[in-house]
Order: sequence, then C-alpha cells, then structure tokens
Amino acid sequence: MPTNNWIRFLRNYGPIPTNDNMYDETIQRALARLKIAPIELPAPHLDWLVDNFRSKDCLSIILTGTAGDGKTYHCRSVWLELGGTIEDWNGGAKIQRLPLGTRQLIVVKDLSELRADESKPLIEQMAWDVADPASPRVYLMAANHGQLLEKLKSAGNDSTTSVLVTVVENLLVTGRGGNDAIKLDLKDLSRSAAVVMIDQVIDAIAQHSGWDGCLDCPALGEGHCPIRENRKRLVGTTDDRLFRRRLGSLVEASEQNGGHFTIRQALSLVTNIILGHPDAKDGLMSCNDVGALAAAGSAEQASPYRNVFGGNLKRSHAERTEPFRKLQLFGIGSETSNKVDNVLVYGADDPALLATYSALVQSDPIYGETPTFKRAQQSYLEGDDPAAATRFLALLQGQRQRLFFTIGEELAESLDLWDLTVFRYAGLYLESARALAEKHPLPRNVMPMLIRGLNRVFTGMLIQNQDELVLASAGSQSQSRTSPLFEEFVSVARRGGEEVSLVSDNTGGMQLVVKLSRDNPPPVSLQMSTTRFEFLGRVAEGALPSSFSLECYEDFLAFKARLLSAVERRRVLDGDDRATDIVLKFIDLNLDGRASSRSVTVRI
Amino acid sequence: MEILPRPVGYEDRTGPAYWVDEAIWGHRLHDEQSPWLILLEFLGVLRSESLAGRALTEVDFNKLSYRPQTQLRLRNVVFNNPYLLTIGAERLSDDAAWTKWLELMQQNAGGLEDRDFSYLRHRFDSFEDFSAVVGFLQSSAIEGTSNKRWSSKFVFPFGPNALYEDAAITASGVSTDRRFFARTGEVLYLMLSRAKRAADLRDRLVGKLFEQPTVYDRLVGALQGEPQLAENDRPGSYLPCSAHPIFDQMAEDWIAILDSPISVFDALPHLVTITGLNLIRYQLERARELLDAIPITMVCEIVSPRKTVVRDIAADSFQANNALPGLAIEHYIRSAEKSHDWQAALASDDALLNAAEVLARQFDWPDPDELSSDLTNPGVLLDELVSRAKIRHAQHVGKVHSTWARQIGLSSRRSSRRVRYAPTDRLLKTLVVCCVPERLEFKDFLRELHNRYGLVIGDHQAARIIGAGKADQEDFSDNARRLEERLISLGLLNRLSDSAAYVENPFRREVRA
Repeated sequence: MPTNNWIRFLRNYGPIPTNDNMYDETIQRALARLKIAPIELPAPHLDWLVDNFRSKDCLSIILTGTAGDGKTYHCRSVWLELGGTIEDWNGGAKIQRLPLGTRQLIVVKDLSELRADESKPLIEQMAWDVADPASPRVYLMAANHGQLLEKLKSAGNDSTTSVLVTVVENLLVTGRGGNDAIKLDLKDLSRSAAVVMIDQVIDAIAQHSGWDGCLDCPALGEGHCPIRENRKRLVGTTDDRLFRRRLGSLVEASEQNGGHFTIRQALSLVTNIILGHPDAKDGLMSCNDVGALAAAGSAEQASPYRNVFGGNLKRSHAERTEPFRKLQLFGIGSETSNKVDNVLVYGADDPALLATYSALVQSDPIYGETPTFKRAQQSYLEGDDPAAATRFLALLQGQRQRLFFTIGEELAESLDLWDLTVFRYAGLYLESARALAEKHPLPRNVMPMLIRGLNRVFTGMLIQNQDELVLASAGSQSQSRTSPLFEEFVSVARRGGEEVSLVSDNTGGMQLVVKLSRDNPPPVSLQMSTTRFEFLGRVAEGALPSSFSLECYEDFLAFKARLLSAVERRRVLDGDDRATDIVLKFIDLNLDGRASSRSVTVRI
Repeated sequence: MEILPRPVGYEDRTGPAYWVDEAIWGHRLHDEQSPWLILLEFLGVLRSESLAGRALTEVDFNKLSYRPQTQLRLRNVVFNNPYLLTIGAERLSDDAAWTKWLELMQQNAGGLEDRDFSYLRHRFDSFEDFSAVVGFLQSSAIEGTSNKRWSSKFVFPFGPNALYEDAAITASGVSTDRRFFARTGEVLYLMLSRAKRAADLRDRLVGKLFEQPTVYDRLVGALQGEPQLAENDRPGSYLPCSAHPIFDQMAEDWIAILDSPISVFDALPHLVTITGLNLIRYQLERARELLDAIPITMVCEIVSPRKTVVRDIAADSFQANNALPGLAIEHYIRSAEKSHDWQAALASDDALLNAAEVLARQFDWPDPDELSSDLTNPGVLLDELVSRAKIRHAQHVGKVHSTWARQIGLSSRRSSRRVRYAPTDRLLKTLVVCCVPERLEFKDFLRELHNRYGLVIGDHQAARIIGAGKADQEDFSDNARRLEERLISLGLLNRLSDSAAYVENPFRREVRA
C-alpha cells in the first residue's frame, strides 16, 4: 500500500501525545525535509502590523495570547514582509534586529525563550524607548499572557519600567493603556474572530497540494479510503458546504461565550476530523491503516461528525484536550430531541417518518444507515436482546452528531436543529448576530423573548410584559429573591429618549443597550454572550433563573443594579424633589400576568 | 495592648455568675446572637451614642452606658399583627376594616400602655394600602423566616427609626432578657471605638446611615410615630483589650466595604459577614495568646465533588480551633495557682477558706460563706471550678466558633460527616470586596487572605502542612484552582491565560460589560 508523505506529516497536527508540532520551527524543518509546501495559515493582523511599522509614528507592539494563537507566525510574517530574510530568521537568534528607514525594529520571537538576565536589560531599554518619542528603536514582541506579566514585573522597580508595567497591565485587562505618552499597543490574538479563521484552516489543509500524492493509490480509485471520504465531506462540494457552516456556527457560538479557538486548536480539530478513527494508533489513521480497517469492516467508525467531538479518542483524553473539551460543552450526541430520535429509531418502520428517514439516514450508506446500524436498530425494536439496546443507544449518539451537521436548512426549523445541543437558542442567537452585522432586521421573536426574560429576572415574578422593561427593587438589599417595589418602566420601542435594543459589537457578537434619555445619563449596556442569551430564553419560557445558571443570574442582577443607579441619576437630573409625603409603588400582577404599578401614599 | 481591669462598682444581680469567659473575651460573646443581630445591636448603641455626640468615642474604658430605642408601636404593627390577612379576606368596607383592626390591636398589642393606633388611619388612603406597606416591611425583615417570638423580630435597618433593642414581652410587661441582644453588639462597639481608624469609620457610618434619611426610614417613622426609648440606660459591657490588631483589621474591612460604590443597604450584609469572621478570629486569637500557641490558621477546602485530602485537613483544622477556647479556659483558671495570693493562702492556717476567697475575688466563685462539704482542699476546689467553668463555657461561649462559622458561610458539612472550613460564595464575595482595591493578581489575593485572616487555601500558604508530609503540593494547588473556577463563576476573576489571573472587585472595576 503506497503511503502519502503529506498524510504522515499531517498527523503531527492532530491530538497526539508528542507535541513536536508545538514549535513552529520544528514544523518548518519537517516541511523542508519531506519536501511539502508550507501550509498557508491565516494571519489576519498582518496588514495592520505592517502598516504600523511602515508609518511615521509607529508604535511598538506586543503580541500576546495563549499558546497556539499564531504569535510567532505573525512575527515571522511581519519580518519577511518588511524585508527580513528567512535565513536570518531561522538563524536562531532570540532577538532579531532589522533596519527600518531611520529606525531599528527589534523583534523578540518569544519572550518566554529569554532567560532573566537576557530579558531584564531588554525590558528596561524598551521602557525607555516607548516613553521617548524621538527614540530610534521600535519593538515587536511576542509573549504569552502569564510570561509577559511575570517577566515585566521582575525586570525592575525603577519608575520608567513601572510605568511600562502599568500600561501593559491596563492594556491586557481593559484594552486601554491609559497613558498616551507611552508609544505602545498590545494585540491580544486570543480575541480574534474565529469563524473566518476556521474556514481558512479547513481550506489550507483540505485543499493542500499534498493531497495529489494520493493519485496513484488503489484505495482512491475504488473509493474505499475513509481518509479521502472525510476530506471530501469537509471540503463540502456535495452538501453545499453545510458541514463547514455548521462547524463554523459551533465555533462562533463558543467564541461568543468566551471559549476561544486558537489556530493550533483549529489545526488539531481539522486534522482529527479527517484522520480520526478509534482503532487507529493514537486515534489517527495513517495510510497503512486504511486497508486493515476496510477489511475489518470498521471503516464506518471514522465518522468525521463524531471526530469533531473527539469521539475517536479515549473519553478521559478528549474531555481534557482542547478543542474537544470546548466542543463537548454543547452536549451534541447526548442531548436527546424527541423529533430527531423518533426519526432515528422508528423512521424505517413508520410511514409518516419514512420520507424524512430516507432523506436523512438512508441517503448516507457510509456513515448513516450502515449495515451495523440497521442490524442494531432491528434488534432494539424487537427488544429481545438487552445488549443490543446498549449497542444501539451508543450508535444513536453518533447519529445525532451526524445529523447536527447534515440536516438541511429546510428541515432545520421543523426538526428544531439546536435542540440537539444544550444551547437551544444558539441558532436564534447566531441568526440575530448575523442580522445585526449585516444591518438586516432581527428575527421577530427575539426582543419580546429577551424582554420577558429580563423582566422575570428583575422582579422575581412570572410577569408577561414584553413591551417595556420593568425595573423593580426590593427596598432593602438588591440580592433579595423577589423585588416587589416598582421603580420604573423603560419603553422598548424608542420613546421620549428611552429605548431597549440589541446592537452589534463589531466582533460578531452583540450587546443589549438600554437608553434612558437622549444624552445624560449615558446608555447602560450588557454583552450578550451565548450563555446569557440562552439564560434569558429559558427564563422567558418559565425556568427558574438560579437553577439554570447562577453565574448568569448574578450578572443580570448586577446589570439591574447599574440600571437602577442610572434611573436614580436621571431622577436627580430631572429635578425630582423630595415631596413631604412618601409614595411607594408596588408591582401588581393582573390575571394575564401583566405587571402594573400601584401607588401607595403615606402621609407624614 | 494592655488588659483592662474589670469594671468595679457595678453590681447587677442579673450579671454573670462566674467571671471566666468574660475576663478573657469580654462581656460578652454569645452564640445565640447571630451576626446580623450583633450588627443591629451595634447600630442601636451607635445611634444612642451619636445623639449624645460621642459616636465611636470611648471617653473612659469600659464605661459605656447607652439608652436604646424600643419602638414598640412599630413592632406591634409589623410583627404582632396577624389580623391583616383575616380582615383582608373578609372584604369589609374600608371603614369597617379599620374599626375592626383598631379594636383588635387595642385588645392584643403587647408592651404598651397606650394601645391606640388610630393615628395610622390618617396616614393611609385605605386599609389596603396600609396592609401592603406592612406586608412589605414583613417581607424585608431580617432573618424573616425564623420562628422567634415577635418581640425578637427585626425590621431591616433602613435608618434610625428602624432601630430598637430586643425584648421579652409578656402580659406583665417588657423586660430585657439579653437573649438575642446579648451584649455582643456592645462588645463590637467597644472594639471599633478602640480601633486606630475609629474616626474615619465614624464619619462614614454616621454619614451614610443616620444623616441621609431614606424614604423607607421615613416610612418606618410614619408607622412608629415619635421614637420610644427604653426606661433605663444600659451599662455593664466590658472588653479586656485596650487595643488589638483584629480591631484595626475589622475597622479597615468596614471602611473598605463602606467606601465601595454600592448603596449602604447592600453594604450591610457584607459588614455582617466580615464582622462574624473577625469576631471568630478574635476569640481564637485571645485563646492563642493565653496558651502561647502557634498562630491561628484556618485551612479551607474549596468544595470539590470528590473527597480530597484537603477536606480532611480542613476538618482537623476546624476541630482544633473549635477546642482552643475550652483549653484556654482551663489554662486561665489554673494560672491562678501561680499567683502570690494563692501561694499565701495555701501556706495559711485556714487554707481552704483563704483559697476560696482568692478564687472568688478573681472568678466570682465560690461564695466563701457557703462552701460545700465535699470540697475538702484547695486542689479539689480548683478542680471543681475548672469543671464548672468548662460546663458553663460549653453552653454558649464554646459554641460561638461553630455557630457563627456556619452562619457566615465559613464552615459546612456538605458531603461529609465532619464539619470543616469551606467558604461559601457569599463569604468569598465579601472577602473580595474587603481585600481587593480594584484588581489583584490571584496569587497575591491568596496571600492577602492568609495575612489578614489566617486562611490557608493555596500551596504557598500550606507550605508547613506540605512540609510535614500531610498533603502533596498538588492537593493544595488543585484547591486553589477550584477557587479560581468559583470566582470565575461569580464574575470576580478574569483569567487571561493559564498562569495569569486577576481577582477583580465587582464594584470598582471599569464596566467592560
């Protein structure tokens, strides 16, 4: 059986124990040795960086992020773009210098590589240089978050270095340096848009010229190679790129929830999707395995849809390894949905479900209705063999995972696609985020649902109001369970300066913005992550706030406290004077659940 | 720090029968007074002293004598008023409802000479409005779900009108049995008065609580009418230490909480929690000083789903601390053996009588004129005193550590047979508000917790335990990791990457939404 060097090389990117792929340099050398063209990875910040260093008032830049975000990759790309040579770069010096017009660019490939005696003078010098606008030196430094802070803090206590440390800390935590005199900026690569990146990584691997090496393989001709089959599905020519789009949605939903995918993790994921098989060594197939697996009849276990979640790896390993840990948080495979399960279990027999079953399961003989699946299904329905039930239920997991990536757009609505995940409202969330980014109107039911959820959290009562925000307080502590005292209605539709709306935040996510007046006080906003959106959706449909997520609940109570402060400021600005009588407003619930306020006057 | 003498010339037939726990910790710490009630008693003292122009200022040591409010009309209306629901259900006309209610109160209100509540009628538009307001005050009561007697229920401290002392009210009148306002609030008042930053604290407390009357305070005032004061002053509290680092730490904590940009009502629960923690530490610290033992530490387990070594160590730590005050009692009494007076008594003719007098002078026991016949010699006498003192200690002061630790969320029995130190979310939040000015690196936060309160959570602070071989470094670093996760879920920690994490004060960080 001929082997393709490219596939052998590709395995290095997967979730294997030896982590040689960690070092950019090791990969460069392996590529050169095996005579493979380098993988063209996305470097989204390259243009911005190059423009900065070519400009007259260029800033020194620190690139930070976690391992695998592409810091060193970006540094090298900038180096080459500004005129440096690849030989100099590979020469091995940890600190590189490049003349840049009247200035000198000092590039630190990885701050963690430097010993303390090497980093200390560098940082002290840098502290002086960024504070001096006439300095001839500018810096490009790559460092992990933790290393950056540690090296900076141990560099020295003199005032110049301390100023640098404060500015860097502010940049890291708040995004703003707070000191314009310091010519420094920081780019945190762990906060970049991931969906575009995933698409590019898929193309970079799946369309790589290395795949041409398969052309003289008999398995290709016979169409029996699971590796080629998985690659084909990932490329997406036959399903209109549905698999990729759904994968992108999962990544996007995870990013908006704080679960960031680094480039290294994306490479690991794509490699695992293509090469994953539970019986192969380290869970990743190589060319030599293909024949044996086909002979054993277990090729169907190479399901790329299961591989997305690390189903080919040992359970404990997958739970701890990125990016599978993040993807498993969605619970796809274990979450059951009645509609989908009915089709999977009874579809073959039930005439009402047969059309759907045929379109979704029978249409895929390789990973859908395989002989194994069919046999297990029959045994399960006949009910005579308890072991069969266990086998079938395990297979169902894989089928649910497959269906998530293959149910077409037309059926997605009627089958409630996102009920296959724990984020039932994620589909609506992504749709809304996209609509906002493209300046289209939001789906009709989004705002009423969010407002209803907010009102229920704010008051602790099952109220139905969805045209206005009901701000309520408890009088005593703001952490009380119910808030019976009415403070204010805030109109959702724009009226008299008040408005509640969803606004795009320009990084693919959205914010909930509450305007209380035309200018003062300023609007109060809350970042709407996937989880917070889900929380409001569930509360709107009746769940108890603290049973879904205590963290979200606390977030929303803090949001309420900010809104109440703003309302108070507005009252003061409007000149509400203190009357001699006391007026308390209570919240009354009508029979249909709508809240209204009832005033009680107490005369002194 | 000097140990102050016991106040002389104060004879109270209802005073303590012995003077042992009181000599060590003050008069007094009492387990049945929960941290919230300690704060309420404190506020009452503060109000009274503030009106007299000496808020948090101790002119002479241990001479505190104040006159608290009783606010009996308010309390009858809010807590001795089961008639609102029944009258509401009868759907009477407004006039009839008022008449019926006033009559019922006239017959059944407690502790008042004048039971005419008709003044309320002019303050409300309708009986229904009146009902709603009373309902609101009942629902916001402190520890509202307790089934204590009505005269021991407390309205939320909205302001000066809402403060009053605990009382026992029976058919024969009002008396103070010092059961729930057991003087711990007075001791707290003395502690804070002796702190270095007492003046700063005073400005903030008086400014925020008494000088900015809120709507709700005026509401409570409307129900009460004119404030009612107790008939007599309340003297008699005693705190042995003229100064102590824990008093200063507590004042710092209070100032940090009051300086946070939150409403004073939201600050109160945090004050309650941190006061409980500091008072527990005070009790342990005084015991340690007497025993000359190693510094007090509290090993905390951050609750984990599986049993860990840290859980056992935390339980041992709890148990050891719990037993410490009892050991201090015995040590304190037996130290009398070394005194010159005792030696002289032993050498004298009537050794037993003289020894009894020595003990009576210091410990208020025994009565030398009524010595029981089975106390045959001074040694037996001393043993008897130790035994009685320990029994008495175990009834209340000995339970202070375990009771308050549970009430502030410091200890827990979750998933375990033994009680151990396991801080709850609420306590963690309070600790962050007190320790973190705006943001602090996580490892520095752990260090602060250890330096200020003796809490051991991470491996650096547990160095001695690890060195003794009782646990691995990994056990404690996992413990610290769990704390990180807890803080993240509370929105109090921002983790940048594996090794860099910042604890953020939720009220002070820039709103990055």
